[in-house]
Amino acid sequence: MLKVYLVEDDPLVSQHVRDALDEAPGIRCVGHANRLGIARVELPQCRPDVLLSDLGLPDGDGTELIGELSHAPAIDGVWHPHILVFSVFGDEARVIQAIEAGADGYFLKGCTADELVRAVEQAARGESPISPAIARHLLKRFRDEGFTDSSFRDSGFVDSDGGATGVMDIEAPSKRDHEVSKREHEVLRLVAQGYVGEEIAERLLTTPRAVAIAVRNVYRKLQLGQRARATEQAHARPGWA
Amino acid sequence: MGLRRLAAAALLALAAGLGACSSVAPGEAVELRAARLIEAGAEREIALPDAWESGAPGRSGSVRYRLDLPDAALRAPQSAVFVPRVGNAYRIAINGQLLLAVGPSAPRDGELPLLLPLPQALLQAAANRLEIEVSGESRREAGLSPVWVGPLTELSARHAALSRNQVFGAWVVSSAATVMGALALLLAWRTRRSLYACFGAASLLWAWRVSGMQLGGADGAWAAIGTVIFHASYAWFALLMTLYALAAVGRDSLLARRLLVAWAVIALLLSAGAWTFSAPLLRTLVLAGTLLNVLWLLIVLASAAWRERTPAALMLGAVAAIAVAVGARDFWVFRVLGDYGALTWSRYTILLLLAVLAWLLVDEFTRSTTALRALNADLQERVAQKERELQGVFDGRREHEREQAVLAERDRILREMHDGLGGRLVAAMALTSQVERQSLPPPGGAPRSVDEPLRDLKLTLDDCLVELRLALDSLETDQRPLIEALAELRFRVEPSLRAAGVRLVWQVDDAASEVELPAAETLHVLRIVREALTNVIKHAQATVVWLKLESAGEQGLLLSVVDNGLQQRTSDEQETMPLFVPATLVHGGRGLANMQRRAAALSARLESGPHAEGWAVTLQLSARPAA
Repeated sequence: MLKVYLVEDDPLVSQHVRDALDEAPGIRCVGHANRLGIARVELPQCRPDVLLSDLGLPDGDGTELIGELSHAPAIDGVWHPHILVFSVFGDEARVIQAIEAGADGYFLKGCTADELVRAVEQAARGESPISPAIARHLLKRFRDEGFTDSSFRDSGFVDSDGGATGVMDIEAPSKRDHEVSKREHEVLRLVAQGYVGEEIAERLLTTPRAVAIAVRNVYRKLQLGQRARATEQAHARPGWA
Repeated sequence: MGLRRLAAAALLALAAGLGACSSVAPGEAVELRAARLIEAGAEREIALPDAWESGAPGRSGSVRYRLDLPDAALRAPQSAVFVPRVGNAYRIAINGQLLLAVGPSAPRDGELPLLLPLPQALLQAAANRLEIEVSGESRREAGLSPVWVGPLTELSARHAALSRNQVFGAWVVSSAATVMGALALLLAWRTRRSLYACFGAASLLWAWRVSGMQLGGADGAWAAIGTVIFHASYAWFALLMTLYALAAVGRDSLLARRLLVAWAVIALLLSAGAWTFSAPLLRTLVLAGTLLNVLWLLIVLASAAWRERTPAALMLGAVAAIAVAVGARDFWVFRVLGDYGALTWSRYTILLLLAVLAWLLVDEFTRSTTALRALNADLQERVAQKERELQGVFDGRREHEREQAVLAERDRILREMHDGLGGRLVAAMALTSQVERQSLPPPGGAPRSVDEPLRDLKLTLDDCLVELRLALDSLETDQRPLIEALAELRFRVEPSLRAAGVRLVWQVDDAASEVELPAAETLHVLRIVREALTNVIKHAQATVVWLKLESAGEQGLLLSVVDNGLQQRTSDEQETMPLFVPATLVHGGRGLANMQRRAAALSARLESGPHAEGWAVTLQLSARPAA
């Protein structure tokens, strides 16, 4: 049974989401908060598998909560929720901020119950939803930060035999762990051009799961890059270390 | 004439006195101011200097001057005779022995001072007699100055001093006047100002006069013309300088010029007359007239200097005053006293004039340079001012253009919002009314199902979000490839397609993936595609829809939405639709019309119609220059 926790201040939306989740087999909504403060108290007790969070809340930005959860040591060494953020119509800059803070993806407010359930199940499996707009922003971002084609690591998945390689990639990040591999870059490019997971897998001669994991790796690298920058800034300031 | 006789008497008295003095000062050089003139056998006492022009204007031929040398003057080991001026040709003998013969080949040689050492062998113990035979022509200033006799050493010094004055002074004046005259003529030629021409001509004339160069040979008509012009040149020089000075102080007038030209002609005629009739008085008249000319100039300059106090008037006035004084002295010495051996002072006044001209030229140059610099600065300032104004105008225009562009963009967005989002919201409201109507049971019947209107309502509201998103995307400033805009559209509509059981197959040509369109055109393409996809959902009962983007020729694009619905669609269907049905829900009629309108805005060709498996909408975008 998948446990889901919802942080959303709009009663209509939260009702819709709760109904959709409770109707789905194997998913249960274990809690709901309309304030960040409440969520902070309840989350360690509920320990959901998936956290759905709005970004604009009356007592702060959802990104703060996501950052706190991602940077805190995992409770009892195991609990760490998969996090999805709501977006009305893809304000990509905010979504990417949330991903940097530790979110695993986003879904659109107002999507159908089926779509929502699909997104939650995907997130629980460790896949990360992505949209062409997000992919485009990420490509632009990596380009602006000085990544050139030649600096993309020529690694990532090498064969299409299941997701084993991808899982290895997650568990053993290389030293240059916040640089995007050539393959991940290619995946982003195809997403930006409108291809969906299956089509990308077909084009790159791999599996849809490997493609999903590539996307998730990109998100992880985004988070690691953000943390590296934060550390650098901390070191740069005297008295911090 | 009485005046001249009086002067001659005074000179005689002076010479007698000096002669008396010389006898009591042994061993020193003495100046002999008296001689016996032997002419045509007759012998008479005469005072030196003896200028033929005043004493015997008509004389032409030879006379002999006999001078008794005082014994005291000849006691030095080496004695000599020094004659400051003698001419035109002469022969000198001591005690009957010829010592020197000069001329008459070079008539003006006599103008040079002569130093003649006396051989001791020819000297007697006492009563030595010097005889100077002078050959001269009338009208050519023959004569004899006082004669010096004494020790060679002392007379050498006198001779050197006089030579320096006569030769070196003439040379300096002549060269300076030549240089400045040439310079002034050059200036006149370049600036086209006649006052410099006057100055230049006067200077060159004076240079010629002072140098003593002959116009032609010593004899004949050329000699006569040379002498006449030489005599007239004094007056001409003065009147040319007068013209210059008047112009320099702004007192130039036509009358003055005419008077001066008339005077030039009169002076020439008088000089010619003096030659022709051997009448020195006419020459004296020329010189007196010249003196009056300069005196009048002095008055004019003085008045100008008094009123205006300009440097030019002050300096020229001072020079004129000096010239008048010097001219009067020369006139007195040469014309009244008839002093044959005297030195001219007028010759040197030109040096003052040259200095004044130089100063005035430098002053004018400095002034015009300063004025030019001020003018340049003023011009630069004005140009800068104009540039600033122009910049302001450009800025204003740019600002205006920017405002126009912003206004146009706002209009476009408003239109898009009105046509797109507004239209969808109206449709949504129509649908809610329909739901309301259908949920009310009709009289005597059961309530109808509201599932279909609700599904439509949801689709329409979804459309609203898509519309809003499209409108916001079109605000993006950087262009992006068309394919990326289509990708986002797919992301939006794919859930609806999936819900309707339609699979979307994405087929993009690699070459077409780079094509970029302006934001407004991208929006048209997106709307056309969305219209086509909505039609597939609503009416096609298809299972697959292909979206193909292919490049067609240079920059051309072919976009097609093809389904496998296998249903012939007609526009009759709209009769089954409720009132206020949104445009997108009518696949033919207005829906197609909308697509055609947008295609026309893109200058693209749109075709919509059945094909083997279902329905095909193709959009042919013509080639366009890369943005």
